[in-house]
Amino acid sequence: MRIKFLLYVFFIGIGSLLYAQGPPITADKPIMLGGKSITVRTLTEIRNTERGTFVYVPLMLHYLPTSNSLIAIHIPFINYDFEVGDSGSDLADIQLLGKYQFYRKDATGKTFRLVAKTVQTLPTGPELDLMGQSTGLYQGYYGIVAGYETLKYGISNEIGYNWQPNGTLDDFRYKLGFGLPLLKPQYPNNQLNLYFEYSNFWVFERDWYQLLYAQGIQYARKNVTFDLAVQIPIVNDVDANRKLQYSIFLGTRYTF
Amino acid sequence: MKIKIIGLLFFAILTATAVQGQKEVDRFEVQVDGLGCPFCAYGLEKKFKELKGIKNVAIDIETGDFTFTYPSEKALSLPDVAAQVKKAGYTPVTLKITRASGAIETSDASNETRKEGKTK
Repeated sequence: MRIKFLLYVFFIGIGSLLYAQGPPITADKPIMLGGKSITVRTLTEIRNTERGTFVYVPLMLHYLPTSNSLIAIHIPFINYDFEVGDSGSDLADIQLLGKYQFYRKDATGKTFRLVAKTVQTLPTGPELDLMGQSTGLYQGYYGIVAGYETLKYGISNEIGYNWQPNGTLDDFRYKLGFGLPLLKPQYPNNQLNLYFEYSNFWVFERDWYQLLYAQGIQYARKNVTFDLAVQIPIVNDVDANRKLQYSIFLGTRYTF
Repeated sequence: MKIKIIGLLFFAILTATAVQGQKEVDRFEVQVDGLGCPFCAYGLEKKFKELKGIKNVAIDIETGDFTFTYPSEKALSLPDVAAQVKKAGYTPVTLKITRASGAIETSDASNETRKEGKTK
């Protein structure tokens, strides 16, 4: 399983060098838009699995105290509908996010940045055993985000480890996002971008492995973006009744 | 005749008021590295909009050329501009100020400031 995971990481990493561009939708980015700025964002996920359908609606508030640091709180709500069992709505696990950019190399029309990232997930949601949405258990995520952005192409990578001390959802994860601008780069910006994003999760305590692919499209104008992505599994080595069928992401963000 | 004189006086007063209202401005030209996407340029503009009185902001993201004007009376300096670019999260490369008086100040990435005096 570990070899398979590393092979996928290597294969996708090589593939990503061909071309890429822009801030991702389901992955993360290392670029921060100036100190003292605030971004309000949401990225609703409608997750359809063999176990049921789950609608996850987070309200995300991001604040940049400086140009190289970010703190955020994600307050999510969840609607769950199990094939066998309960259904209902509740507050999901609240997340506290911190990012610190520790390396930056700029050139004309391009930049490479490295960011350390942590996400502290608080056990505020119901115990639904839903990765990334609601487990009702504390989790601590520690990762590195690396990004290379140019006006023609860019790459966003994230590698990290999610620690769940009282559960079995510890996982190694690797995310990669790249995209293609459909319009000529201009400012004030008026962008339409296609995104190609891969997410790997290796939940080694359960011997699960997922490789998910998200196809997304984003419209960006001035300080607002609208995102839409559809995520499907490429590799879905999880318990038979837990397999992901698809996820739909709908999001918007506004920076002021 | 009386009407003509009154009209001329009125015009003269209006003109004088308009000239007085036009503040002298310095013109800034900055070459900025790190603008890897159009959305990034918004972060740069937003940071400079904190400077009250900034006008005529233009960013060419392909070349990194960033220009704006700012009231002369506020005497915005090259180090101030470089610091503001850094606060936005980008790297200033070259900076040039054309003061309202005609004096030109420049600096490069090594932060060497040079005053060239009046060119007019």
